[in-house]
Amino acid sequence: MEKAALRERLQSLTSVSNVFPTARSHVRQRRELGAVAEAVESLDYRLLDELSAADARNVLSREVAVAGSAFPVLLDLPDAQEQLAGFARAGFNFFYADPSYESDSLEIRRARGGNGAVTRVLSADGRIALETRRLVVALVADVDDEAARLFFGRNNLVPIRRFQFGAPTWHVIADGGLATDVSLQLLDLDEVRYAEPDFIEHVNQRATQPSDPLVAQQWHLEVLGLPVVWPTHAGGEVRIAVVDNGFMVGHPDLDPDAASSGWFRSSPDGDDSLFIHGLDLMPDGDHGTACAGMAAARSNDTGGVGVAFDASLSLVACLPDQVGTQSTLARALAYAAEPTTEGVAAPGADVVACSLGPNEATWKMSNVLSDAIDFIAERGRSGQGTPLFWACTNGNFPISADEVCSHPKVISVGRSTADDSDDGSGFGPELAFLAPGVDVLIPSSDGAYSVTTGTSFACPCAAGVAALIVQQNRHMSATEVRDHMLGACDKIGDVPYVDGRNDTFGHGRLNAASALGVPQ
Amino acid sequence: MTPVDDVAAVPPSLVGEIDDEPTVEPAGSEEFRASGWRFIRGDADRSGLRAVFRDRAGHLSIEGATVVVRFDDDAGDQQIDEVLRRHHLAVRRPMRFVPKGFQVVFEGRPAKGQLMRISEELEKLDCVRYADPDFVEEIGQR
Repeated sequence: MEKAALRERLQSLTSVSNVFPTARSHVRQRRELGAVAEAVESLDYRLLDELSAADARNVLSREVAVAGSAFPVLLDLPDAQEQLAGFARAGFNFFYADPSYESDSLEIRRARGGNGAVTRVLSADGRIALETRRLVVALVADVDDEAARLFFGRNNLVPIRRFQFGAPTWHVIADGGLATDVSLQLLDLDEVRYAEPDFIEHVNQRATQPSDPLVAQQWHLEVLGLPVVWPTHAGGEVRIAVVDNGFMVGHPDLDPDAASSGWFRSSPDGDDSLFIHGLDLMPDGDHGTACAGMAAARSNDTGGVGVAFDASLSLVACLPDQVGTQSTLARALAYAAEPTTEGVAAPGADVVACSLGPNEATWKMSNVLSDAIDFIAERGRSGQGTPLFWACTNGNFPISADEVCSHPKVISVGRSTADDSDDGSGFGPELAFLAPGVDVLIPSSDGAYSVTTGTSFACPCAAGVAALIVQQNRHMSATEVRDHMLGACDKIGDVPYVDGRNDTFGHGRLNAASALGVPQ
Repeated sequence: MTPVDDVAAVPPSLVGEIDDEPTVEPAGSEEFRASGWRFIRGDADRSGLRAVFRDRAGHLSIEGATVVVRFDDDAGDQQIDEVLRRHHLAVRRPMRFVPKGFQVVFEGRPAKGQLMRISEELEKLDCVRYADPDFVEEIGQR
């Protein structure tokens, strides 16, 4: 997120006056909180007030004047009900305190049965955030550990740990003020890439296990470890763009976003294209439908699901008869990452997948296509870079002869089988990794599902996994997402991996569970 | 890429003008013909015909109707206008993802090979980073 956008978000937070949480304890030790959660869900204000206030008075010492339960006030906040029930089940009770309580230090609050971590209860845009003294601070890339130590000292920050995300990012404690205020001050400094409070929030299990009837036949989902990932990450609030020749936009398992989708209508001679915003009259295409469905087919009790079934989906169609110019392809890719390039004010994609290209060994790249790839990888996502996945050749050729998949900013994906063999797609040092792409069951343009094979489908499979990673950590740059994926591959095949890679398997077969740090 | 001198490509919009010409079917031209292109003998003298090229791997490409020009970052608007005017080029659209990048067209119907020659001339200018003629090519699915 851009500094300006982050600053705006932090400035929009407002403190909920005189409302504080009690000390947190496991709900099994305070059975009242389970009943509080149920009262929140049923909006039984009388019972809620009674149970919550009784619990607060029971937990807090006599020095704290409890004016009553704060749940009724918090329930007035937008979209608060589900969050508050979640907080209660997680062991948080909220009470109305005497104004003097706010001036007590966290240590005194803790000693009196209050919460010794939460400084304030904040809210904005329908989210309730419990502010602590902790922040996450990312410094610019050329700051080494010693310089970081000096920086933290100067700014009254105590580092707790350095995150292993690639960029220099630390978990720190703010010694000199409220975390939100300190973050805003840090955002003004050139050394800081971003700084934001590490709020305690209720993160709902939006996605659990899909009940779509064909999921059991989609072997690739199990191989990637997705069943253990989906309970927390299914791509929510992340946007995937698929660039292809055409799509069945009305497929029952696709739910594309018209505002960010568009297509390039070829001129009669196929040597130029006119951009058309939206999904109306977009060309159909089995290949594109399959790619889009692999990445983001919905969980809706119909058909199967995509890797990131909660992700937003942008469809970008070009070269409908597979004959056209690379400048049109370049425009389509740039549009996917940044719609303003075609004059459209819509959000750009967090992840882009493209599975177009010849299957012979050689593909020469024009300068404008190379510039488009650079643009996506460097300027997408407000400067963080948008990961761009590309299907390598299906032929058993060296990828080095394909100048597009050899572009250093392209993440080149080969296909793997259900039994984790390589299946003979492109090879060489340019291969990032393999992903499932042989006999995979994915959407087709007849509105149903079909079994199909190709690197074309391994590519959006990888893009779907990238969407889950971005959902977990929105601050990762395109390079960090790629490196994270490379480091999370399973070393399949009975072959040696030198420095973590092998020319036939790349870094191995992608593993979503490993990439998201979820035990399998 | 090597020119295929004995063949010229006829754009779909001009196919109606070559009814009396015998067509040829060079190797690798199937997808182009499916898109409405036709191929005739390369020595045909008619404006609007396009040059045909083949790369080392045998892929066929057809000279397109536009050139993508990227000027040097320091090039000023006046200098860009002057260069384009001198070569009878007009801006079709700015390439917003390419700094100082424009897709340009020849004013009038270019002769066969003319956009290739103009691109080569532009590339010799200090203020031009690159000038790529657009090629119509087959870009398949994987």
